[in-house]
Amino acid sequence: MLSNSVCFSQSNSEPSIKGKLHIDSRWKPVVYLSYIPTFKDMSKMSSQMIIAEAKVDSLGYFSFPVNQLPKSDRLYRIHISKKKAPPASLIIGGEEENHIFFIANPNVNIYISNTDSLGIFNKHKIQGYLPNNDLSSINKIIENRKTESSTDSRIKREFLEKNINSKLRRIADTSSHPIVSLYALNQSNFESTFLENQKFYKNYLKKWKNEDSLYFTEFRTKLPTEENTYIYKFLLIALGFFSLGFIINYLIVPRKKHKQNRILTSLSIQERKIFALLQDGKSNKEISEELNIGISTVKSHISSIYNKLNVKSRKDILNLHL
Amino acid sequence: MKNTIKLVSTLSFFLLFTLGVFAQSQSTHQCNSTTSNRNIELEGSSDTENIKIEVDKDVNKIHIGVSSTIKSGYLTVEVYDPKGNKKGNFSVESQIKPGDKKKELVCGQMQKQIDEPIEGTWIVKLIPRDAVGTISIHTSQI
Repeated sequence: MLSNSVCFSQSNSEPSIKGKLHIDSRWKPVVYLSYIPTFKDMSKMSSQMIIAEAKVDSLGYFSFPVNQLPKSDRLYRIHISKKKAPPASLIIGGEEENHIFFIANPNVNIYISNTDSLGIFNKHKIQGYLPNNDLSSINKIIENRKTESSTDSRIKREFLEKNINSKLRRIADTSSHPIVSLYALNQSNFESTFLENQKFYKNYLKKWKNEDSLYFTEFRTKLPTEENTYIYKFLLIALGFFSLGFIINYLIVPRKKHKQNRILTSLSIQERKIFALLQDGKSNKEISEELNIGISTVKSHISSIYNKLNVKSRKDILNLHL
Repeated sequence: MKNTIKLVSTLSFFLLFTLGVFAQSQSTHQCNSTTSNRNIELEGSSDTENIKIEVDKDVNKIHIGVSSTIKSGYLTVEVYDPKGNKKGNFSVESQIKPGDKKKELVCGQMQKQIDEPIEGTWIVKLIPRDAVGTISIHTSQI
């Protein structure tokens, strides 16, 4: 944990995350700072994520030093907890939502304030570092999603939802800040709109190919890569061939077999035995000895077999695959 | 004079009638709202559980509140609409392992209010991993 400190004015130029909060008696006068390594962790709470805590003084002021933060921009969360709750408490949604997110690095001087103690972060400001203004703009768009949905019909809501998602994609596309850009995209239901906008995502990944932060690593794993797309295509083709094989095997071949069975059943029992021996390449004499019948009888049966199967020679019999 | 009395009594009648209808609609409105509460104890469980919430066509609004406190382990709570779209989630993790002498509590709470919800089965999915703690789920439909 970083050391606690109190006191401050906004004019202090020493890099820090500080501010003034109006909090009522429900809340403990302590602010917790958490490091958010991936967007997935925005809705996660664990005491390990809390990297600092600062007391809120009687006038509402608090401050965190920033010198131990990672050098490049990262996403952070500050939250407060209710009096009877443990420090690691996260409230999502409703009037008691107890946290906000912002971007910071060791050189920033961020000032956080609120104007209402009822909904503690309902009306808040994050000043001092420009990417957070963009973050706030994105949050306002997301807020619109909630308010619009409460008054409009379902069809209109779906239309608005599409509109909001496309607005967020536009921000993601135009923002020059990697976390802001990805934050916007992350709020745009990108997983369900990937197929509709494949070209956009392809270009997006190309644009940020050098970003190796965990935020982008996580994002890349969520999107189907080109390699995966090829695998899917290959699997689809394989499945197609399998289905074709299945159809041929179970629908076409049985018909052929059925026809062949019908031909075989037209032969008498003795003829079938002789037919089998003919297919083994046996001579008339061998058949005669094996079945213990005269050669002339064998010849007569063979002639009958030729007629019934509509063949002219032993070679034709050998070529029959019954 | 008689006309005035008639007018006043007609107006009074309409006023009382309107108030009566309004009161009745309010009481019907209250009767139509349904709530349910469920408390679940986790004792080192790692079994995923789906809590189903049936939402009828004529429901205007649903509220889903999930709060959890865990002493150890990991818990993820997700809310899905009948189409399978995730509508909210949170995770809580305690660093304490079962049997440790140290104590640590981690709390997670989520409030979701959905207007004109999709008809069908909404699901609150509980995904614990060696979690010890409690979950409380409150739902109401209007």
